[in-house]
Amino acid sequence: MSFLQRLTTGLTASKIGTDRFGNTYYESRKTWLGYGRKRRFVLYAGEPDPTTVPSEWHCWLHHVTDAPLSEQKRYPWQREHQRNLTGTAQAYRPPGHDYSGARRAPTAGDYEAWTPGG
Amino acid sequence: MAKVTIDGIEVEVPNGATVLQACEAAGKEIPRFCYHERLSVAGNCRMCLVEVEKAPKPVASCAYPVADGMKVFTDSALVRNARRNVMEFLLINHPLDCPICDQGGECDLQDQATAYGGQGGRYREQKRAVKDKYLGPLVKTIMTRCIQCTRCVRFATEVAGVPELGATGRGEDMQIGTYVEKALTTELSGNLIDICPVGALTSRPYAFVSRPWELRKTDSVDVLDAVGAAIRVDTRGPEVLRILPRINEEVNEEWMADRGRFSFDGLKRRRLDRPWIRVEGKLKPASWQEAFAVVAERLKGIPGQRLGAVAGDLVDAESAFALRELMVGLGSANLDCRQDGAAIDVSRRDHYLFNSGIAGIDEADALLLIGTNPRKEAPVLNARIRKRWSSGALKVASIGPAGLDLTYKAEHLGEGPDALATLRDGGHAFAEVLKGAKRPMIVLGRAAVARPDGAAILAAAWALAESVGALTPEWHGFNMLHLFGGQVGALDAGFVPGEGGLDLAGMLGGGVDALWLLGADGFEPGLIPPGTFVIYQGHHGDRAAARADVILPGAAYTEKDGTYVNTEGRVQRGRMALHPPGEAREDWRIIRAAGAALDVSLAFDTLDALRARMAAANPVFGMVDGRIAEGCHDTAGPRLAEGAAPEATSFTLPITDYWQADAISRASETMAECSRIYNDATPKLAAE
Amino acid sequence: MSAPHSPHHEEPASFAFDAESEAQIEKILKRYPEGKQASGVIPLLYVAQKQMGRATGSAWVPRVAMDTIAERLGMAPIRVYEVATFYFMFNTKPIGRFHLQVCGTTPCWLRGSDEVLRACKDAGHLKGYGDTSEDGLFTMTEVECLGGCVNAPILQVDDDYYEDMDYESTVKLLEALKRGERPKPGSMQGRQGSAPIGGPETVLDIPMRHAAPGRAGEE
Repeated sequence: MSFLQRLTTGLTASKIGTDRFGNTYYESRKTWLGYGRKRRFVLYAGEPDPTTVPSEWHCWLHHVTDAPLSEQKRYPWQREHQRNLTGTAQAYRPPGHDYSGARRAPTAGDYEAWTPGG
Repeated sequence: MAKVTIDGIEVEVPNGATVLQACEAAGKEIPRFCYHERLSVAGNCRMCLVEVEKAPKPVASCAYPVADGMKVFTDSALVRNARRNVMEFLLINHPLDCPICDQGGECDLQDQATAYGGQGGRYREQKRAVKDKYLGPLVKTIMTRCIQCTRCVRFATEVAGVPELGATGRGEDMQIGTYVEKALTTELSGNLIDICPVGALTSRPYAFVSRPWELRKTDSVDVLDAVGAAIRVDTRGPEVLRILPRINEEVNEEWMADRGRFSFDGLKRRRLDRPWIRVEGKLKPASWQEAFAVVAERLKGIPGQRLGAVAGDLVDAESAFALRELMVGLGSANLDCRQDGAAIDVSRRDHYLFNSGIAGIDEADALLLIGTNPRKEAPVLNARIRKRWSSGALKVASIGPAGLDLTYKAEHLGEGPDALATLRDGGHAFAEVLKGAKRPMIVLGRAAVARPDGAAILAAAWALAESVGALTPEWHGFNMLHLFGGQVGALDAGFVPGEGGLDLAGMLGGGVDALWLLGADGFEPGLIPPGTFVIYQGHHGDRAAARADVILPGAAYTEKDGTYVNTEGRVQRGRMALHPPGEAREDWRIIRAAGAALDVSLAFDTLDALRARMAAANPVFGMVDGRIAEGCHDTAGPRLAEGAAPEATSFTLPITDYWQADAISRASETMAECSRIYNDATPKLAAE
Repeated sequence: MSAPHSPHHEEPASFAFDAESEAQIEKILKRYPEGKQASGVIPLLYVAQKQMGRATGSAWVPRVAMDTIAERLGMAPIRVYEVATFYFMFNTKPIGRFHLQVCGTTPCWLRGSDEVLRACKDAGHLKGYGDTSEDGLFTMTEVECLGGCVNAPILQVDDDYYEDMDYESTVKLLEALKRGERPKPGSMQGRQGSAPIGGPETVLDIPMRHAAPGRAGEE
């Protein structure tokens, strides 16, 4: 965070908390004119990527809840938040894709070609 | 003739016709389930009720004979009410499972319930449930859906000639089935699926595959037997999902044999989808250019008379004709399409055709089968013989293996050609039957002449036909029954040894250095002398492909526009239902391209041009869907070498395993399953 | 009776008509013209069922017997199966030694067929229609009108009609059957045919008999 940013942020907004990924969340000190409520915003830990915001903070950020939800796991079926990997090397590719084995499920139009061995 | 008034429309129908037929003549639609034109009348579904003037109650029109002056109403309030109530009864025990039923969308009950049914049922009690029956690997049953129209029972008993289906129990407990669990022993079982008006009998390979409105329908002809049944190929995307018969009164009526209907899954297996060339003893995938380069390089060094070509059983006439043109262009007369070595005399067309015609069976009054089992070789034709036999007007006798179950009674006259001579000398009572018959038929199996003394047998059969008066200007009673859809077409295309040319035996005996096999899987490829350069052009890696030095992938019959000639000489067009897989191409195009690579000018660039050339070479190819039906004007028999006489060996049958008789069905898993099930039950006659 | 499509019982491996049956068959088949022998399927099924009753004590028609009949009459086996399963007089499953056929149609029911049914259940140790007792003696089936309504209720045991039944007489009959006796069929109340109880009330003498002591009924 640059000095200027830290200065203006410190003057106009108060820090609410930091999530487990290091993103810091702020709320403006004043109600913004024409907005009708206090502004909530996030300063990303790394590259600015909105999908790194976990759901607990997401709902606070979008004024769904007044206070951020607890970041503790509550149910065994809850899975860890994952940012959107589209465009990266870890992006999901279906099984038929060349980068993931190129082994697709058989479809109706498939035929079995003859080879000299069989 | 009786004059009947149907809804104010006056029609004349023959005496003895039913009211339903009169209504159809007047263009009125009568709903029905149990009534079927080709089966006996049962009259048990009651859906065809109509009002007849002065009749006290609605009458079942399918079983009610017309009378002169009768007034029939098909759309009165009484009739509508009656139909609605019958439909309500039918639906009492019919499950409402249309969304998961394979018949959905092409179901008579569904359609008629919509058109003639009421708003809903009043039945609130338990519906009945029926245990499903096993009818073999092709027909799937969901017997709860059965409305007991007994069409299947009548079909099995009357048309297929296997009285194995029946209605057991009574009343609500009546069930359709075989009682003893077993597969139906018929080659026509697929037709049960067609005639079932509900979803009780459905196709097992097609189960839960598709809906009728998703399918693209292409009219074509069946080539897996020589009957040439009219078919409809239903495709979705790049695959054939099912094959159904079309109505063609002259050929298949509306039936179809199981091998043609269910072997289409073989079109997806063991396909040749790219050219292959043999490099250092091993086949390697290649491009078309490379393949043609090898063909050109190898063939150019070989003189024309050392080249040979063999056409297979399933080839279209176009490719056979094109290959013949190519071979002639290369200076070769070594052509043969008779892989079985049948001694067929092509000097005249009626020497190798089923001259009486398939529809002619309906007029025949005596029939002699020589060395053939039409039940395995042409099941639909066999059903036609059975139909005529059932009417009581046809007497059948057979010469060949004893103990054949033809589904009708045939007197067994002998096992070998000596029975022919006995018959001609009047040494058997059946000779009198043949002589006394107005329309006698001699049916010579193709396999009967596929033996060393074949020419003599052909001549003997012809002589017998002549001696019993079967060859008259009005009636041609000499018939040859071929086995596959491409055989007659290749003969008509002139794919036989030319002047001084070698036949198949000559070619295999070292007469050629290069052999072009056009879908020729009918003979043992091990017979080809080593060192012979073999080009295999075809669609399946069946028997011959592994022996080839160059493989040119062609198209199967569903994948090309082709002309096929059935055993009675009817020229029919098959149409392209889908594209050949991978790199494969239509066969005539391959030959055209090979011609270009070999610097042979072939006088056709389009299919139309090729067909025009064929029609010019043999006028029969210009007569699509027709056949020359005429009597015999020249009773001179086939040529016969001096001193040739039939030997005493017994006839053997060509098709030992009905379910695995050609390249496509040998690749089909459905057919393999059938073969396993049916051949376990019945003793195999001989190894394939 | 429902058709047993997957038999849960033991099917005999073979079936052949014995001499007694053959004699009957010969008589039966003579009734039909040449080529129409298939008409004899119902009598032959009876013959087969009777033979099974004699031989095994259970009068039923096994499948092999139906096949034998089909072969004898030159018809397809399924046609025999159809007939045999259609008529409930033919048992396609093994039954008990005695076949109790209780008529439950309206006249019998009004005259107390429920009591007969109850008696059969109690004395024969049967659970209900279609059941065979554990000792293998009785099988009870419900039948429709046996045509003896005047003497209702009726209990048919094998081929014999026992008429004017009630609870006590049914129990007595079953006990007698258990002992191996075969009580005289007919009315349990001693009626003569279907005449009123206590003897005929009309046509007490036949005038013709006095007039012409020759053959009665002749003019």
